[in-house]
Amino acid sequence: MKRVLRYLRAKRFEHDLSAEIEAHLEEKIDQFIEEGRTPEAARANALRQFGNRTRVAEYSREQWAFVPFDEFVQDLRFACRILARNPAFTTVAVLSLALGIGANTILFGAVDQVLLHALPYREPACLFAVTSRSANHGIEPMQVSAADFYDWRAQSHSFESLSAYSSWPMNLTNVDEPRRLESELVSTSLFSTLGVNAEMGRTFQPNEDQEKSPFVVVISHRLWQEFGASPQIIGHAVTLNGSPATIVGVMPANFAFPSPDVDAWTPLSLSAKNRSNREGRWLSVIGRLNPGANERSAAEMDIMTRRLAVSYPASNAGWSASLLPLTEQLIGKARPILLIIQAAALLLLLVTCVNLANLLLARGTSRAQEIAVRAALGGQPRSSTPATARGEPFAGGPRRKSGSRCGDPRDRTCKETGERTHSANQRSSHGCFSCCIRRSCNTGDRAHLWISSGDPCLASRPCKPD
Amino acid sequence: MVAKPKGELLPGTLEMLILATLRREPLHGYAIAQCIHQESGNLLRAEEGSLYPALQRLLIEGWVSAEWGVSSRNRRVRVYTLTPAGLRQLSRQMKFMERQIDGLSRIMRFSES
Repeated sequence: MKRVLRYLRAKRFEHDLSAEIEAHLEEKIDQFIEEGRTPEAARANALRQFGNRTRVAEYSREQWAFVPFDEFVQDLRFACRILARNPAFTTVAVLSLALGIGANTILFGAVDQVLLHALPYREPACLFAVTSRSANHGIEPMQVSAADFYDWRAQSHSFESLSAYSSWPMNLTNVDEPRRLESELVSTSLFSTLGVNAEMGRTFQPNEDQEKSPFVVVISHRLWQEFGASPQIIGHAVTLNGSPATIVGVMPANFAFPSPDVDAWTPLSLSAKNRSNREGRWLSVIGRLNPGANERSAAEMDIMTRRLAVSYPASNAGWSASLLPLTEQLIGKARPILLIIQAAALLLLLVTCVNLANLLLARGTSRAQEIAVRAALGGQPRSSTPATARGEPFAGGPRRKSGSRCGDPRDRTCKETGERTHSANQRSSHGCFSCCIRRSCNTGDRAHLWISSGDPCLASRPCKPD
Repeated sequence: MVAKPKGELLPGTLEMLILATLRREPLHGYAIAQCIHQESGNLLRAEEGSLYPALQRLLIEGWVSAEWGVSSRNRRVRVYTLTPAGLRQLSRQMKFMERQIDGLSRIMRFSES
């Protein structure tokens, strides 16, 4: 906190500091003059004794500044500047990144929803789809006949509850706009099998699948909203397939069983004749296994189906039943496909990154001259971020305005030399150019001598224009 | 980084010297350097490059306060004053320094004997 406050006062600190250093130097020069030196000599002496002013200022700043943050902001600003200066590069980079990231986001959204989110039911691992199979009818699992379903339900001990459902679209009339409703006939126990309760009102009561019981319907959240989202919807009468039905409940918005387009659920109410039909296999069956009943459930189903096959050979001979975890049944085939597409998208992102890295490398090479100049003028590579990460293969951060460090006479030499050489030797190779400047920096006092004797580059002849 | 002054004895010495200098009277940066130089019998020289970072540290710690004033040469300068906290710090540091010097001189005597 203190650091942040200090940082906010940075401007003031900075202003005070530079004024203070200026005053210090003036005092010193005055004293030298009082001691009898010429103003020029006094100034040069004072500057030399003081050392690198910019460095002193910087080091002082580091006492109160939040250096990593500072550097980060500088890097950011530098990056923005470079990007703004190269619109073509920026467009390519942004577009390819957008493509890579966008594709991944979309696909991961799907993967997340389908593979990573558990089904929105109570203990979804206990839910199993039960299907009929017959070797004579191919290997595909098939639906279950009503009579078999009721027999299984009566005889099974492995299942906490067993429920059937079947798609049964109905006509919704007696409303402003009659329509075909995607609806399901379901066992009254379906909602408790899934472990989902109504958002409003109730789900079905066990006896509501009797033929004589009043016709009731549970509607989806979406349909409720189409009806005006009124809380008075419970008890409201609608006409389904010409029969008056009472809305008793509204399901939560995320309830989408067995598919998201279902808008209404009505009790599976069968006549005695339909209940005993073994030929028509039209019910989907879902069951919740008792805890720990996993192993014996298959054996039990086996025994039951065999018994039924013996009792009703005409319809049941050769038929068995199989259990499949509900998750598998819903997304089983989608899993590998989704994973492959996701992997492809990740590869796409990787390719994008590699492309961008290549672009940056190419840019780094073309910036070699600029970097040489920066290095020669005293730019220092950052300690916190690797130079290559900023596209600076060898040296010279964008840390300071070039020349801003040139406080002491040596640095001043470098700066002047740099500028002069830069303008004079535009055509000279930058490597030679930077070596010439560096030499003038590194040799310290000789550089100071050079100031009076003229251009250090010419004096030492380290580089020749091509 | 600015190189540490070659004349510095132990870490914290420069800070201590600044605080000690300011105990007598409030001074500006250049005067502090001069004072240290003269009062040490020209033995010690506070390198100007290290003086300002040290002053910043002292400001941050609240051991000195700074006000803009006028120097003897009639120039606008920043005058540093020792705060009560700075005085306490000075005595703490002096005790610490005395112990260090004591320890050092014992070893020196021991090595001579």
